[in-house]
Amino acid sequence: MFDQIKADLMRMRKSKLTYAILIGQLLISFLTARTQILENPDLMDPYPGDIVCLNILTSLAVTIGFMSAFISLKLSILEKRDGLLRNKVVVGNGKCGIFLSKVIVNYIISVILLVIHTVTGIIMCSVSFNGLLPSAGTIAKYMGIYLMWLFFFSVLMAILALDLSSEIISIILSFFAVTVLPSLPGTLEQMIEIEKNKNSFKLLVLNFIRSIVPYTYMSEGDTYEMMNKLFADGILPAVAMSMIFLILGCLAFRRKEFN
Amino acid sequence: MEYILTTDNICKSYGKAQVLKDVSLHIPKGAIYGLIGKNGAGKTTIMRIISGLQRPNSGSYAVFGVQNDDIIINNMRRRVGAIIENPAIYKDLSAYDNLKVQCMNLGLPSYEIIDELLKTVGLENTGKKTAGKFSLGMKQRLGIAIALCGSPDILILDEPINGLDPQGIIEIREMLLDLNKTKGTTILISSHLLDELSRVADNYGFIENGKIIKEISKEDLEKSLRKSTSIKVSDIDKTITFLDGKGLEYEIGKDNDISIFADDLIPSDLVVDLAGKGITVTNISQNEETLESYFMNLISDGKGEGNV
Repeated sequence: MFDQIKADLMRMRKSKLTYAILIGQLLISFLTARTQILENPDLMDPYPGDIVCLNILTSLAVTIGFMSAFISLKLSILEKRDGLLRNKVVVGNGKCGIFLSKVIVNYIISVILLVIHTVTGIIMCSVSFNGLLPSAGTIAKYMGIYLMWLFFFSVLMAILALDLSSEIISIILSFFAVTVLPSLPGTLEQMIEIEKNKNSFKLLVLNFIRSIVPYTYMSEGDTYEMMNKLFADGILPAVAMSMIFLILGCLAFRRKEFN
Repeated sequence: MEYILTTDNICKSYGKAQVLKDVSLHIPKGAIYGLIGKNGAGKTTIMRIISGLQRPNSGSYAVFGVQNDDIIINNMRRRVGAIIENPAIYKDLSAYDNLKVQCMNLGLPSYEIIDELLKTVGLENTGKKTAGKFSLGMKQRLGIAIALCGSPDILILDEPINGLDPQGIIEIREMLLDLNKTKGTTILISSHLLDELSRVADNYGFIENGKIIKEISKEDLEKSLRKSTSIKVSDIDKTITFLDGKGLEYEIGKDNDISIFADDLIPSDLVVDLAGKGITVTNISQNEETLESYFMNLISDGKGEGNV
């Protein structure tokens, strides 16, 4: 598996697309942070520095999803279409190993994008607000939540790119995952609100789903208190959810036949 | 005889369509085994199964004596290289980088072999040119180089000369013969270009409608190929009476030429004998049945004898 990760990273390093995505992420992070700062000159007062910077950081995290989805789908689908996965299978690499290596490579790309975004956000925040910096604890929680979310996302992208036979369906579902899923916690929240006083089984199910949707942290982690709460309460079920997807994806890929 | 790769009654279906029916192959060590069949006969499917890309519905296969359900089969696959259908290459990488990626996939500790491989397939001067800009022949040769990473003992090549120009075909042929001769690589190769296959293979498997109808070595095949003598004569009826009298097997063609099937027939003697009967031979030629006609006979008259 490590050999394949090394091979995939080497292949990424040689691809112009990788550099285009990294530069694109840097530009988007810079421009959006700048726009947000310019549109909210009073952002600093009366909030503490943590929240100001956190808002800048969380404002762009969806683009990381888009960028990493684009690069992992583009490269994995091309690999599948051009029969390059065959080269790995015929020389005896286990299919689970191939799947896991794709997840890890997707994750490495996502983390690099997250680091670009975070560093850009912190620098922009510091420059715009007279050296204001979020605390190390806040950064650690922010990173923790996003690292967890991006891992789930990397698993999801590997499943969509490798396990599905249809490229079109892969792309549509990925687009759905990036755009629609982040609003799922909000939708669930509304449904929970309606069911709140009924004390029904449906309420239990809704609460359970909400607790295990990793996107919950993504969409609701934009306030300090909420991030604290979610970091404390929900990280375990979300990690468990990622692991379940990982195992299912791996098992599905093991059964896959190649043309 | 030592077999390096065998399949035992492999069956494979896609939905309701059964594409392989009890396929049993026996590939001797060091052989160049030509798998011959029409399009859709099941050549690619059996190669996919042997390469581990697909699973058989029933039956089994063994690579280096290790059964496909054995836990160490993947270790054995390290000694197998394959090109199934099209060569799988990264179009945006150079030939060198394509080979480097495959060396990494194999977990090879060094990349020294790359230069040697590029030289073997004649791509040593391609530099940084990306594989997407290669000609079909170059892509095919790069595919073979990728399959040769890790110095495999078995090479599985599905239609490797498809779409190549005559020069490309000659290059691939000579490369395969050289690999087989110098490194002892066993090669399983499929093609529907039978004439070309007959120039490289020393063992043959004939597949038709998902069934192996015959396996035969080159020596046995040569013995089986019928020699014929074609004659054009002044009097067909008299000639037929003569041939029937001699107990010779013959066929009359559309333009009244007669093909006589006999390995030990001496043309000059035949001409003299016919002249003695008052028959003039206006044209005479000797022919040997080709691999193509042998295959066509095999599939048309149901001469298949099952697995040999």
